[in-house]
Amino acid sequence: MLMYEVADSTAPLRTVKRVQFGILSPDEIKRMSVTEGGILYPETMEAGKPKLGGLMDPRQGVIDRMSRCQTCAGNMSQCPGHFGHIELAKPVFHVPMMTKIVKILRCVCFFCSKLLIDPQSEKVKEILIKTANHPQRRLNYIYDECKGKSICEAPSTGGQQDQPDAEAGGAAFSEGIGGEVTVRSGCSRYQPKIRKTGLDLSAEWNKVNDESQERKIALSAERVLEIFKRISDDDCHVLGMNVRFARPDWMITTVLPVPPLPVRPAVVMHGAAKNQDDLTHKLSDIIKANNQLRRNEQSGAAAHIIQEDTKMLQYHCTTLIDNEIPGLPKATQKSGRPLKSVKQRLKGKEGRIRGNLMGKRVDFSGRTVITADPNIGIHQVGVPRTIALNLTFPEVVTPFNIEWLQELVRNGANHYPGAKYIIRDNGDRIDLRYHPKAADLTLQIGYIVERHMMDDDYVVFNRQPTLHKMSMMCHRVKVLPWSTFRLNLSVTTPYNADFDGDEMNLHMPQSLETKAEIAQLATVPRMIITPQSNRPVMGIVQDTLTAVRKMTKRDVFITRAEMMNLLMYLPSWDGRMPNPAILKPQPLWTGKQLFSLIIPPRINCVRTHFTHPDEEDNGPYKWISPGDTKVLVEDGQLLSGILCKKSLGASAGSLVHIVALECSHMDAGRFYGEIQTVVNNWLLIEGHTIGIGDTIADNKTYSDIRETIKKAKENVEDVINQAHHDELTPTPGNTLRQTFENMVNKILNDAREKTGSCAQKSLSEFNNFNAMVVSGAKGSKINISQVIACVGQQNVEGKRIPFGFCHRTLPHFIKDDYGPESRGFVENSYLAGLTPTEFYFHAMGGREGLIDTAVKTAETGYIQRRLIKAMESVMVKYDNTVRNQIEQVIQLRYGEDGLDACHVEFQAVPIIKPSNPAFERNFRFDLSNERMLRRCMTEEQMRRVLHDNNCQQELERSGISCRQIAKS
Amino acid sequence: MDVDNLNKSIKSLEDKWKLVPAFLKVRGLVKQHIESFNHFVNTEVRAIMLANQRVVCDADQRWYLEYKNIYVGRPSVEEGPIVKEISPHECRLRDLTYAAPLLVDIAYIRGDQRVNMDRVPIGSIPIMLRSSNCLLTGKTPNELTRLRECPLDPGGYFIIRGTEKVILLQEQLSKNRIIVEDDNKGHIMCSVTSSTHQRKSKTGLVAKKGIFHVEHNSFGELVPAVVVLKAMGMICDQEIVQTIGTEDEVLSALLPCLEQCHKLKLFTQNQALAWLSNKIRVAKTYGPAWKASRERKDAEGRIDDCRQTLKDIVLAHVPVEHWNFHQKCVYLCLMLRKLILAQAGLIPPDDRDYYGNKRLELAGSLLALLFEDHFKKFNDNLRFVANEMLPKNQATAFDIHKHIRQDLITNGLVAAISSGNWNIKRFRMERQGVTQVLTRLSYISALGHMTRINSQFEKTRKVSGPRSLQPSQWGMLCPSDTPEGESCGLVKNLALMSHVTMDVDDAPLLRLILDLGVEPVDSLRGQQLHAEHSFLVFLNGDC
Repeated sequence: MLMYEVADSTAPLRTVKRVQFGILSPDEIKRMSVTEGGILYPETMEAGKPKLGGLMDPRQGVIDRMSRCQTCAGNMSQCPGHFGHIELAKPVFHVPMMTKIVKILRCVCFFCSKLLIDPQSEKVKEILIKTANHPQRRLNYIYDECKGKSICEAPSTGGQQDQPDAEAGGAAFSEGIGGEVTVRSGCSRYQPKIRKTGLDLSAEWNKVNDESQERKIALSAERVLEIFKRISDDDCHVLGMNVRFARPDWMITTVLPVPPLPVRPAVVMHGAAKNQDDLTHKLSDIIKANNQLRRNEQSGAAAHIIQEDTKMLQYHCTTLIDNEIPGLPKATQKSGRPLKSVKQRLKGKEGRIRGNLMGKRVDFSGRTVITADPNIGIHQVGVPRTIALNLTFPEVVTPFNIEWLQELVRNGANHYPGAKYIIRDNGDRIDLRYHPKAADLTLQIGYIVERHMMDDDYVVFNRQPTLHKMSMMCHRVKVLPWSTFRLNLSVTTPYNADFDGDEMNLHMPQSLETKAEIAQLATVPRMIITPQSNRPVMGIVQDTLTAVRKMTKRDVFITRAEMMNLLMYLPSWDGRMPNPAILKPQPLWTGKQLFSLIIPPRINCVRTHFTHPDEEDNGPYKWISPGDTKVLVEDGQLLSGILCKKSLGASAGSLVHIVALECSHMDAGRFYGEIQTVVNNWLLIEGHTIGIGDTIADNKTYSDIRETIKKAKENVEDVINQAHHDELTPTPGNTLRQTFENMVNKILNDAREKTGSCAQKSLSEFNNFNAMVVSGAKGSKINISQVIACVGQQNVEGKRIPFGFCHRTLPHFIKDDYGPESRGFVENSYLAGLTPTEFYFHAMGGREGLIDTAVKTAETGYIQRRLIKAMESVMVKYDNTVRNQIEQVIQLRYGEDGLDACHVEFQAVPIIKPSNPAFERNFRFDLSNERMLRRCMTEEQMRRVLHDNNCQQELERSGISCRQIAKS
Repeated sequence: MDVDNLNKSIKSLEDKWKLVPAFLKVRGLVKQHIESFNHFVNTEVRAIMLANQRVVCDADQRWYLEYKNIYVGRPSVEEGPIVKEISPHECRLRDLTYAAPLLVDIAYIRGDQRVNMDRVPIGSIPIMLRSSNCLLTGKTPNELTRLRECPLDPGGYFIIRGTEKVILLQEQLSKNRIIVEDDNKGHIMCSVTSSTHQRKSKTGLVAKKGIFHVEHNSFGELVPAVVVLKAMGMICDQEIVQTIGTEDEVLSALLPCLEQCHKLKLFTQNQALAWLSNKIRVAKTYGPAWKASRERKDAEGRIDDCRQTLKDIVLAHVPVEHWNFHQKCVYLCLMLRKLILAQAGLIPPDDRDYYGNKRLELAGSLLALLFEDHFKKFNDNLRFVANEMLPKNQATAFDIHKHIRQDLITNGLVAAISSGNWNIKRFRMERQGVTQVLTRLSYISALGHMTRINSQFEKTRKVSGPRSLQPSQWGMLCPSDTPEGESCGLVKNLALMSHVTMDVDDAPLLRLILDLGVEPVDSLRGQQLHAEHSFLVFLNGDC
C-alpha cells in the first residue's frame, strides 16, 4: 500500500474499533483544557501581542503563520489546536439538551432526587429487560411510568421524613438524605409540574405538603444541577443514562469548553484589519457576561440583577450553540447579519456533515464540456492533452519499467508524455517543473514517479446528477488534442448527457488496487445491462440508427470497392470476404451481408420492425415478410428484416441484449463500436438529408385534412347548439358541463388523430422524416402530424384554455364562446403557421410544461435522496439474505427469488398462449398418425417407438404434463 | 410619414408589419424608464419638497427653515473647489457616479434676520442616461460619438461608481383596490391602501361564525364590522342595510351582525367609539399629534385616538373631510356587499393573477420613495442640529447653512441603487434586488435587460399561478420571453409595443367625469347605489 507521510500529523496510526458518544463532564473539560484557570479576558490582543488568558490564547493554537503553538510546539499545519475552558460563574442549561433535562426532571423526585417509581417493581424490571440494549427507549418507558406520579412515595416500611427545604427560590438546598436501607425511601413530598418557556423552566405545585411553600417558582440551572447531582448511579442506569459517559448532571454546563483557534480563525482583510470569527465574538460576549455576573455576585448585588445577568449568560451560551431557536431573537453581527452558531456550521447541505464529510472536493479530478466522437469505443473517453498533463498517476519504479520511467522523467513536466514529481524513498518530493537540471535525476528501484495520464489508464467518468450506478463508469483514457472530453454516442443514454454544453467530471484513481477495482466492477461493457428492468441501457442512437435502417433495406447494394473500404473499419474482420449476393453483371453485396459481418457468430435473434403489421403473424407469410419487417438473425447472419430501434435499441431481447448475454463483455462493448464505425462510414457514402420538401404533403392530403377539420368544427357547433337548446343530456356521473367538455374533447382529439394518420400515410418511402421516425432515431408520429397536418388542442392543467378575462380567453373573442378556436384548438400545422391567438394559446400550454420541469426536478431530487439514504447499506450477505448495516433481515433471498436481474431474459413459451384445440393441433404427438411420424423420425426409430410400450407411456405422460402447464 | 397616410386604414398583413418599426422609432424600447425619471425629476421632487416645506425645531419657536424652490442641475462632479460637467463615459472610466447636484432656494432665520439663499446644494441625485437632465439628450450622432457614447445605446440606466445599474420594473398588486379572495377556509376580502406620503396598511374583512369582522393592524383583534360602521356615523340600522344592499342573501347574512351589535349595547356613535378604543393597539406612528394624545390616557383621549385612527389609518385612501365619514362608510358597505355576494356564490372571487389587477413600479416612483425618505432624514438631521445648537449661546449667530450635509442624500441614494436594497422606514419596505448591473453581453441583451419586469413573488416554488402565462398579459408582456429554471414565469419582459403610463394628476380627471354626469356618492343614499343601472366609478380607489 502506498503510504505517504501525511504532512500534517506525526501521530501514530491506529484502526478505529468503536465509537461511543457521550456528554462531556466538567472534570473532563477541565482536564483537557490547556488554559489553566480558564479564559478570563474578552480581548484577544494586549498591546499588539496575544494575551494569555484572552480569547486568542497562544496556548490554544497557532496565531499566525510564523509563530508556534505553546502547547505542542507545532506550526500552522501541524498543530491541531487545543481546547480551553471558561469557568462559568453560575451553571447554565445546555439548550440542545433541554427536552431531555425536562424529561429527567419529571422522572425524578424534586427534593430527594430519587426515581419516582420503585426500581424494584415488576414493571421496571420488565422494562429493563425489554430495553437492555436501547437506553433511549428505556427513558421513554420510564418517563411514561413516572409522568403520572405527583408524589414521591414514602416506602411501605415507614421511611424517613425529610426536612422541609428552607427557601424555595434561593440557592441553598437542605440535605434530604435517603436512608441506607435497601428499601426505597422516598420523601413523600408532592412533585411539581415542570414547564418549559423559552429558555427557562418553571415548577408549579398543585398540592403542597405545607403551606409555607410557594406554588410556582422559576427553576434555575443551579437548582436543577443540585437535583441531578444527587441521582444515584443505579437510578441513572434505569433512566437509560450510562454513568460513565452521560450522567444527567453533566447536561448542565458549569464549565464551557472553548474551541481552539483553528476552529475559529481570524481572517485578515485586505485593509490589514483582523476580522474575528463569529464564534470569537460570541465567546467574548459570554466572557463579558460571565465577568459581570461574577463581579455582581461578589459585590453582593440584588437578587433580580443577578437573575438578569444569569439570563444574559444563558442567552449567550445558547446562541453560541444554536442561533436558530424559534421565538428567540437572533444574535447578530453589527451589520445585522445573524451569527453562525456551532449548530449552523454542522447542519444542512453546506454544513460540515453533508458538505465536508459525506462529500468533499477532491484532487486528481477534472471537468470540461463534452462532445461526441463516434470513432472511439464505448469503453474509452477522449481526454484533452492539457488535462492529461495535469492529472498524474503514481507509478512505482520496478526493474521492469525503470527505463521507460527514466524517459518520462527526462521529458519533464511540460512535455507530454512526462512526469511531474519524483518521490524518493525518504519521502522527499522533487518537483520536476522547477528542478534545474533534469539530466542528473536518476531513478532507483522503489522510487515513485508521478507520471502524466497516458492512453489506457483507467479513470472514473461521471455526470451529475448521479441517479443510478451507470452515471459513474470506468473508462479507458485516450489522449486527444483540443479541449473537450469525448464520448461515444451510445454511452450518452446512461449518463443522460447531451452535447448542448453539458460538463462531466473525471476522477483519476491513485493506486493499483483502485485501478483493479474499477476495471473489474465498473467498466462500461460490464454495465450494459441494467438490473432495473433486465435490459441494456445502451443502444444504437441517432445517426447510426437512421443509417442502419437505410442500409439493411432489401434494395441496398454495395460495390466491391466500397465493400473493401467499409470492411477496413471492422477490426474484428478475419480478412475473408463473403460471396457477393449478386454475381453478374457486377459483384454486389447487400447491406444485410455487410451487417452480418459485424454480428458475432452463434447469435440468434427474432425481432420485428417498426412498421410490422400485426396480422402478418397469423397469415401464411409469417416467415417471409413481404415488407421485410421480420428480423431474423441466425448464427450471426442477418437473414431478413430491416433493423431499427426495436432490434438495436435499449430494449429487452434486442440484438445488443443477446450479444451482451452470450458473448463476453469485451465483445459486447466492441459490438457497439463496430456497428457505429461501419454504419457511419456507409452513411458517408449514402448520405441523409432533410428539407422543407419533406414536410409538404400532396394536394389530396391537404384537402382531406381540411375536410376533417371542417367536419369536426361543425360537430362541435352542433354540440354547442344542443347545449344551448337544452337538448344535451348528461352522461351518468357527470354534470352537464363535464359532459359537454368530454364530447367536445373527444371530437377534437379524434380530428387531430385522423388528420395525423392521414398525413403519415401520405408520406412516401423516400421521405426523410419518415426515415427517422421509422428507424426510431428521433421524432414520433405526433411530431409528423403536428408539422404537416394540425397541431391540435392546447391544454392547461388538463383542461382546455381557461377563461382569463371575464367569460372569454382573449379579448379577440366574444364572451361565452365555447367553440374550438376560442378555447385553444390550433387547426393550423407548424408548416402553415399559427395565427396570433393560436400562438398565444400554444405559449400558454408550453409555459406550463416548463414550469413543471423546473418545479419537479427539485421535488423528485429530494425523494430520490431519501430513498437512497434509507437503502444505502442494504446488501446481500454471505448467508444469501439481504440485510442492512445493523444486520436486520430485509429479505430472506434477494428479490424473494435469489435471481440476479442482469441475467434474466424473456422467453416465449409457446404452449401457454394458444387455445386448447390449437394446442392439441400443434403439439400433440399422435402415434397413430404415421405420416407425421415419418416426417420427424427415421424408419428405424419409428418402428421402435411403435412397438415399445414404455415409450408410448412416456409420451402420454409428457403430453399430460404439458397440458397441465398450459392450463395453469 | 404623411399625416394623410396616417388616417388611411391599413389593409394588408405586409403593411401591418410597418407598425412595429414606426412605433419603435417614435418611442423606443426604454421610453418608460426615461419618462418616469423625467417625471420624478421635474414634478415629484417639487411635490416632495412642498410636502416637507417647513422645518421647525422645538428649542426656539421662532426659528424655521423653508424651502422655496428646488432644481436639479446638470450632471457634474466636484473636484476640490471646482465643479465641472462630465460626460457619462468619463464617469464609467473614472469610477464616478453620474449625478447632478440638487439645488434649493431656502429661507431661514439666522440670529435675528431672515436670510434667503439661492441655489444651495443639498446633495446630488444620480441621473439616468438620456433623460431630460442628461448631457446626451438632443445631440446628433456626431456629437454623441465625440462624447464617446454610442448613438445606438438606449440609455435608461444609471452609472453608479463606474458600474451601469438598471432599476428593474417591479410588478405588484394594484393598491386601493377591493379584492375578494378565497383563503382556505372561508372568504377574505382585502383592501390594500396607501395614501400619498403617509401610510400603508391593509384592511380586511373576515366572516367569523357568520358575523363580519374588520381585521386591521391598529386593532388588536377582529372587530365587528357593524360596530365600525356605527362608530363612523352610520347609526341607523336601516341605513346600513340599505347601503349594503337589499337582496335576500344580503339581508340574511347581515342579520347576525346587527344582532350582535345590539347585544353589545352600542347604539350611539360615542358608545361605539368608546368600545372600539378599548381594542386599539398602540402601534408606533409618526407625527406630533399622536405623541400629544398618547399622554392623555383617559377615556376622552382614547376616543379621540380612535376617531383619528378611523380617519387616517383604516381605509386610508378614502378621504375624510371635516370628520364626515360618509364616504368611508359607503366604501366599507361596498366591501361587505361584495363579500356577501361572493360567499353566496353570486360573484366569483377575484383572480389574483389577472393582469388588470397589477401595476408596474418604474424607476421614477421607486426613486421618489427613496428620495422622500432621505429628504425627511435630512430634515430631521437639520432639526436635531438646530435643537442642539440653538439653546447654546454662541458668539456668532447660528447659521444652519453651515450644517447642511450633502452626503446624507447623496450617499443614501447611491448606496441604495448600488446595492439594490431598498429600505424605506415609512412604509416598512425592505426590498432587495431592485437593481442589477446592466448586462453588456450584446446589444440585444442590453435592450432586453431594460425591458425586464421583476415580480414580487419570491421564487416560492409551489405556486404555479403567477408563473403560468395569463391571457390578460396579451399585448403587454411577451409570452415567450421568460428564463428557464427556478424563476420561470416570475421574471417577465415587456412586449415591443407596450406603453407604461405615468401618474396623472387626478383633479382635472375628476372634473371631467363630474361633467360627464357622474355624481359624487355623498348625494346618494342607500338603494340608489345598488340599483340595476347605476354603476360605481372608482377614482384612485374612492368613489
